[in-house]
Amino acid sequence: MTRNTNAIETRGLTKQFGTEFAVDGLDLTVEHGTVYGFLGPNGAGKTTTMRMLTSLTRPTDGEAWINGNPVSDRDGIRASIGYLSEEPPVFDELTGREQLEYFARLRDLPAAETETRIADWLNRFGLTDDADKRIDDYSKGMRQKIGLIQALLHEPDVVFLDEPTSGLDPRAARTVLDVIADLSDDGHTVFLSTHILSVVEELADVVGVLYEGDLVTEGSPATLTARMEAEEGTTLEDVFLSVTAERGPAASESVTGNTGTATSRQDGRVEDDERGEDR
Amino acid sequence: MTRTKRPRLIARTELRRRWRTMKGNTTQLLALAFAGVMLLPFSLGGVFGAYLVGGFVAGSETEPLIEWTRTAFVYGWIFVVGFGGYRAYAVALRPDNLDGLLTTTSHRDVIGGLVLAELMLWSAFFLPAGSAATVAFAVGAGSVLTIPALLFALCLVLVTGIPAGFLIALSVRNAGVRSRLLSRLRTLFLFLLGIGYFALIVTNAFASVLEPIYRVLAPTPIDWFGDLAAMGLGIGASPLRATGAVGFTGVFVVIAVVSLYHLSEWLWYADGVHITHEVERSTDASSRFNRLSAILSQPVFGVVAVDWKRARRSPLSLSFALYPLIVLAGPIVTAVQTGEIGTGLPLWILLSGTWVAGSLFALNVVGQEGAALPVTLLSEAPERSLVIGHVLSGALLIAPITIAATVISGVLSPHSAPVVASLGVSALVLPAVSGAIGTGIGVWFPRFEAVSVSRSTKAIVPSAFAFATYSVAVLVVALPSVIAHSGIAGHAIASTVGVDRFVVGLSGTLVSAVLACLVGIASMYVAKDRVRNHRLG
Repeated sequence: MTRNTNAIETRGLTKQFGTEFAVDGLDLTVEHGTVYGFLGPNGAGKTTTMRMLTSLTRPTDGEAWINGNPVSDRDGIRASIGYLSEEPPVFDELTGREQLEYFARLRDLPAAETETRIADWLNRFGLTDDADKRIDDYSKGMRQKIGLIQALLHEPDVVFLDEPTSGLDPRAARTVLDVIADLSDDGHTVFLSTHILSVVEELADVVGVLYEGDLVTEGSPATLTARMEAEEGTTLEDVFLSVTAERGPAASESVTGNTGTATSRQDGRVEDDERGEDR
Repeated sequence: MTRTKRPRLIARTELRRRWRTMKGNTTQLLALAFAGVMLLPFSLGGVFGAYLVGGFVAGSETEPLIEWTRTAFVYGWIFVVGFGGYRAYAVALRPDNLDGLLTTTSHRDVIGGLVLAELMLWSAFFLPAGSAATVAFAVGAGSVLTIPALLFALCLVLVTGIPAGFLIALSVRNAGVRSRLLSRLRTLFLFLLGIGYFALIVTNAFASVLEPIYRVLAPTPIDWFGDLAAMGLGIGASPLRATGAVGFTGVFVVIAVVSLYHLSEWLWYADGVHITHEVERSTDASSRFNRLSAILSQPVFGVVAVDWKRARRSPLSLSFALYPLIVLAGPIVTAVQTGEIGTGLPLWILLSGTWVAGSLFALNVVGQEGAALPVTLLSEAPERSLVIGHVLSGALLIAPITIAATVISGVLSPHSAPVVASLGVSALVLPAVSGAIGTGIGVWFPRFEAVSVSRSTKAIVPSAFAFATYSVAVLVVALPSVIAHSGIAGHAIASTVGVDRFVVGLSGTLVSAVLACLVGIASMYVAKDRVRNHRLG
């Protein structure tokens, strides 16, 4: 079944391990060209959600689509996604350049174009001089950069990034953030999972907070913070702490507040009202 | 991109990575060089042997020869499937960066690449020697047609055997990731399998395991490979069966490919059984811990308690203890087979118990602290608590077992009661002190980083050099007691000196005990000094 609507869409997406629900009936819609900040405390189900959306894990229930293709059709979605897992997916025994060439070949990218793209990306991340050293000798940040380039090399429509700035120094982190912003500008969709709230605050068009497998709140950063404007200078961190402090109506209530710029659904999700100027 | 291009690319990259890993690992390189040196004479001998066999075949009766050929090929196939399956289970089916591969290309390409890599590896090892032996055999037999026929048959054995090994390994791993029982008992199963394997080697009982498998396979098309290999020899090979071998290979490969696709998909996309560790209630309050806590100082008690808990939850860190147990497996199997306990078994138990006691916790007193080392070093008198604690951890665990097993087996053996008593004293002293011997050796070869115990499991284990040196030291220390209690040497000494066997045994015990205490005290002194002066790099 093909749906020709959003970059990412899930309906009742559920993952159960034994008796535990890692993700419980997740309904999510991410439009094309959006940077979606996916937040949640450790163990909330973020990585499991990403693994289901990248087809690495089968959902127990529910459905998900990438660019209208069901995630169950692995061959159908593979070309349109890029994935950077929390642990950079690199081979220690290869050089940075070999690693990128290998994955480019597996994706059947044209050789000449591949060479140019790799050179451009290596240059952008300041890795040109180290490209022919073995990854074994790379720092954590350099490995992360190679992993990110690998996820972007084939110019996928939808990019899943799990903690992309983890282990990076401020300069390298800035480069990554600029890349994500550029991706969004170029019409790519970025599904970004991170614990660094300032990153989400800066980049995300929409933020979703997952807690114990449930999406407890969703909206633009500005909308969410506006919900707590009773206190001056409310940040996304305040929102995060609030909605994850206590699950259920109490949590969503504390977010929705009484200003009327957003509404809370029964399940705690915050939706922008018709003004929506913060988006 | 053609259908086979990605598997070939994956296979090439996989082999290149393995080669680079091996190049960077001196131990692996030395092992490879050693194997090469050892195998060269066998290979040359094999080639010459093939020439002689060829000559023998040329002038012999036909009937038994074709049967022998068929049997040889069936056993060859079992060998390829067995070792291919083992390698698939332990190495090939655990590719690094699997998530990266599966979000880039299909599982079909990945499994295809892994099987192809193994095929190339096996071919690189066996085809050169096989080709040389084939040519020599053909020359000896005076039949040129034998060369392509035999080589072709060898290739078909590899082409069917390696995927068959992968199928078995995939089935086992699929069962493992889905069965809660198998997942929980995996380490125990592997341990028992290892012990069983070495017991088969020691007792030379491989035939009793292989023969039933042969009997199952002999009536199948696997038996036809022999006919294909023997074409052109004129020893009664059936052309029909030879043709059937080729056809069978084609059908088998098609079925194997489809099955490999499905089994690899089931494995790599499986959730796996979800084993949550039960709440680990601290057992420090149990009666055994209470008694120890009352006897030992709190820092030493703390080290002992943590050693035991870590060992129970991560037994792989004690992997060096397997070697003494493997050594002990032979005498035990012999005793079971013969139904008799000879004078040697109590000595083997004494020696192995002593060996194990020191190898469990004492060989890496600094390194096994892992990430907690900075905190440990800042504690009150860490050298005392670490060194004494690790020695006691092994001694308290193993010495009682060694004493009981040595005395019981001694009583059941032809040893006299006084000699058994003397052995019992050795079994009390040596396992209690062997840890002390290990500490000083271990601090010279500390191992701080976790190493791969298996492809998928890492643990901080002592250095192999430390274990080897410790093993020699323990053997030297225990030797007087072992010699004095052994049936032949003990009797010879008693006759020569003109004293009772008990006196000889007791003397041996005393010499070993004094030696062990002296070496142990010196070793602990060194260990304490090294811990006291250890600085983080």
